[in-house]
Amino acid sequence: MHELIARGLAEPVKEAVRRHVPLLGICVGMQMLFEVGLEDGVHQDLGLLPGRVQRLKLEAYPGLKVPQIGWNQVKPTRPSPLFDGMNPVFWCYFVHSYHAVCDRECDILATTCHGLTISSAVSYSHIFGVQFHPEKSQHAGLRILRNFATLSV
Amino acid sequence: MALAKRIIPCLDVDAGRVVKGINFVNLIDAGDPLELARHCDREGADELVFLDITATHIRRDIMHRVVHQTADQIFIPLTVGGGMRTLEDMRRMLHADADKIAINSAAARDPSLITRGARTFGSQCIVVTIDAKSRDANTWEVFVHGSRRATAKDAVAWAQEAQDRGAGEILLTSMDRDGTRDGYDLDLLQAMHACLSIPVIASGGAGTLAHLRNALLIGQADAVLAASIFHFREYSIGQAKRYLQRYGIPVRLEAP
Repeated sequence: MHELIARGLAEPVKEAVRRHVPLLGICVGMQMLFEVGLEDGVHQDLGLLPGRVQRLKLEAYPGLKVPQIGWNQVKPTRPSPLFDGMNPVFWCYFVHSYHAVCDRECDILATTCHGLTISSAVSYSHIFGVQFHPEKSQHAGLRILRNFATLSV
Repeated sequence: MALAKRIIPCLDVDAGRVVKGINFVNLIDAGDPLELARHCDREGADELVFLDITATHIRRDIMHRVVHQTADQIFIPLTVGGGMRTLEDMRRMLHADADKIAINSAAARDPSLITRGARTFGSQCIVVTIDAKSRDANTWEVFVHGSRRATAKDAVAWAQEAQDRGAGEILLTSMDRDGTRDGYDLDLLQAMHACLSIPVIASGGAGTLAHLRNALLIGQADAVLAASIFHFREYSIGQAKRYLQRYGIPVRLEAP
């Protein structure tokens, strides 16, 4: 987020969102959509979605690792153009130690289980975020990117 | 369902050619890294590792080209290791579109390379490779420089230090088992699992599918690196995954 501000990109991103340009945040990009991040101290994110980003706390799940690295199943919780033509559950590649906690349950678009059930995709209006890496998730990921690219501006 | 255990083929690349890789059927050019990477991708490999065994620094450019071409066409994570000594080496490989960097000897010589790498590029990019050789009961020593030089470092303590310095994963090779096809060193894997909270990729010794299963179930590894088990065309990656699934091990299996 510091980097985004330092490069003068935070405002242009918000401005594009105001003009209804579709936005897709990937991994940290999804995390930046929220209001508050707790990675290396408290800091303000873009604030486009209500909620915060916090560390994966898996003490209750011995054997599970942080960061979560690898392929896990993504289960959409409601229909979305982002998941057009896809299976009800699909595998995607994750690498993360933090996860987003939505204040509004209706912003959750898909969930994934790594001990906790985390929000692996979120959306509100034309704003989308995915915690996994579609660009590293083979067929499913490419389909998601194609779906996003075809959303009308 | 849960996070899948990963099967990761490893290809040794020398001056742009795969020298000890996977001898797949029906390949037009078995020495072409891109061709092999495509095949692994089709077969359901979860990630790929390229190990650059090119001796000279000058030829590093060839590896950058190979990595760039592969990442352009293969949409699974790609780890590249071999000979990287500085942050600048790592940066150039990441700019060539590697997803992760594996470091070994340089990290053992200067552990701050892990800290600086993790801080600059993120822990998710930093894989610390450890070549471990059995010493006494339940102790292993770290070797470097292609397993030729002993370091007197304890492998488990070194893995913990790497984790504390920000390594995202440990790629752990048993030198005692590497090339034997007698199975992974399960004691070593268990010792690492007991002390680490980051994922461990098991390497060295795979000869049968049961060896993969044991590394994941008994050794509690998060992933298995395998080359020679697929090298002799005995098993495909898909076969290996179906086998593991029968033992209740979560694997990524789906029709494209």
